[in-house]
Amino acid sequence: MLTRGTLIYIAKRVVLLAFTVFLVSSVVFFAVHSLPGNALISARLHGAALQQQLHQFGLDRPVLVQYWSFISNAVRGNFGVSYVIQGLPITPLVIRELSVSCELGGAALIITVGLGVSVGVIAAVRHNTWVDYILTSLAVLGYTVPSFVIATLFYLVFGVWLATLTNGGFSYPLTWTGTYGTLAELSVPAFAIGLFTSGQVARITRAAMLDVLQQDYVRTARAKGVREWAVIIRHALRNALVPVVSILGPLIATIITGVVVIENIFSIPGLGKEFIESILNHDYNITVAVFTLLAALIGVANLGVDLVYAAVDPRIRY
Amino acid sequence: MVGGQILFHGRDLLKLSREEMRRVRGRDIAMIFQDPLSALNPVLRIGYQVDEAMHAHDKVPRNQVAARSVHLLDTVRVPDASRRVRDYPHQFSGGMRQRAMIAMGLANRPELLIADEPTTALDVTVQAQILELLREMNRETGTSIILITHNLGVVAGLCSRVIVMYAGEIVEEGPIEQIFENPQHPYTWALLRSIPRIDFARHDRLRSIEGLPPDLIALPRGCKFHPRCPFRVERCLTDEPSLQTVKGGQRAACWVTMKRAYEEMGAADIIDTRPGAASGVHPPGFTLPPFGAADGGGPTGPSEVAAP
Repeated sequence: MLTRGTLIYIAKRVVLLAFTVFLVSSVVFFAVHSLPGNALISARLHGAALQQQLHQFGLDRPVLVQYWSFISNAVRGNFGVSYVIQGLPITPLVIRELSVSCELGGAALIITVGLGVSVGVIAAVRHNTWVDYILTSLAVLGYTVPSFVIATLFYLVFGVWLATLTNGGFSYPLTWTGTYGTLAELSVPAFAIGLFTSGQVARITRAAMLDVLQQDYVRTARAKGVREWAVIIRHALRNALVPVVSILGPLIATIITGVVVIENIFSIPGLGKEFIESILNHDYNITVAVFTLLAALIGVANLGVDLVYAAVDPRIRY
Repeated sequence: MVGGQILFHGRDLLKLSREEMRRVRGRDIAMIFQDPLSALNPVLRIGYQVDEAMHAHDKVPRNQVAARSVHLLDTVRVPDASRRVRDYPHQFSGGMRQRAMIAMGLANRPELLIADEPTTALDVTVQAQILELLREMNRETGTSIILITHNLGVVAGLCSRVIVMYAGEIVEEGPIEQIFENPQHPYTWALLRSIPRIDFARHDRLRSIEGLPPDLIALPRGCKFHPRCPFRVERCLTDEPSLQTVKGGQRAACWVTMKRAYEEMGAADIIDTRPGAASGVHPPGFTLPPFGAADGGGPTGPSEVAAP
């Protein structure tokens, strides 16, 4: 699987990715530094005290000088310190937040693929029956209702209507115990994100399965006397996964955007929540760090999708 | 299916349950398909696909399956079989894919192999190799072969008994020599006549059967072939002929048969093959269309007269 060609391909993509991430962080750096006001706006300082603070953080230097000192630190993995919670080192903070967001996004991705593919396969196998109609309608509902609407709906259902059943586990605001939350706590936001994307996966899977089930090689498999479930899973689904994998790249970007929204709704201490907070607080370094990590995450995810693509379809080799 | 039975060892296959039918497929009756390019699963290894035919039935002991796959591919002359079982179909040529299909078909030593136009997608030299392979398999393993084809040359080379079908029905059947030497149904006769022959004069017009195959959802009344038949008589327009024995073991579904066509209608020297041309029997008000008009026009004229 990991041939020399594949490794060279991965190396090339990583170099390209590093360049993209560098560009994104540079653009964001200059963008946040040109926002009106300054990093200490929330401290309500004036006159000499403000100047003294600005000088202490080096914020009175020309922007290009600040940029150079930021970049030279960032390549060593040091994103500097927070201006709001003064002196707090940023790198460990955003890494921890990234892990929380990855947990949520990963759960959403599992729901997306798991639920989407199962629904798509069942709908295709029960093509044009009431099962198909119900599942297809649910899928349409899934990808037309935005994740924040589903999120609030989940609140209503599990937190209010079924409050006794869930034993207050989903009371508002949602209690998110510790950094990573419990599985039950994770499931609600993960579903809120995953339902939206799994609707799209279900639709693509169903269409691909219907196409593949018509193919000659499926007829060949049946003519060999292969059991029907094996025909569907081994012969049809393997082939139907190819178009599904190809939309996973854009879907992962959708999930990451969803994470930003959902984390703010559910008060989850992840990168998405920091994303909004740091911008509102003018905490420049955190904003740049968050954007850098998100850009890297999307890049790595897309590289992963391309590698999975080759694993699913042997005709694709890098 | 309109009706009837499909008997295999006295068992009606139409009455089997799904699971019983699955156990017949690939084990007792195997099938190879027309287009080897699309009949193999592109994402599974060749070896896996051959193995699977055996795993589905447990006729071959599990621990011998992999070895037998290599042996089968070797038998159908896939070069370097032990290494190429790990290849994917796109790494095989068209001929090799058809060989792999045949290996798959033979995996469980079936009693019957249905080959649906097995050589259509292949070029002529590969065609010959595949047919030779089928003949060899038939001799060595005793597997019966039902060959579905439009290529009468292939039939002459491989088969012992022929069934000629037109519009989904049997029009003639019999031993190979009889059918080729002495066809009794005008369709068989016309098919054989339309084969280009290297030993015929070069300037001869390529012969074809006038008209087009019938529309299967609006079949003509009477004999299904009558709108295109040069020897039709009035009875052909209304009554459907059934298979009648014409000569030891040979049966044809025709009111006229070629015996009468030769004796009374001059079939031996016929040039004008337009519908009804040789019979001199036309429905009232029908005139022969100008030569070539039937091309593309489908079965016109008499079939419209015959339609309710």
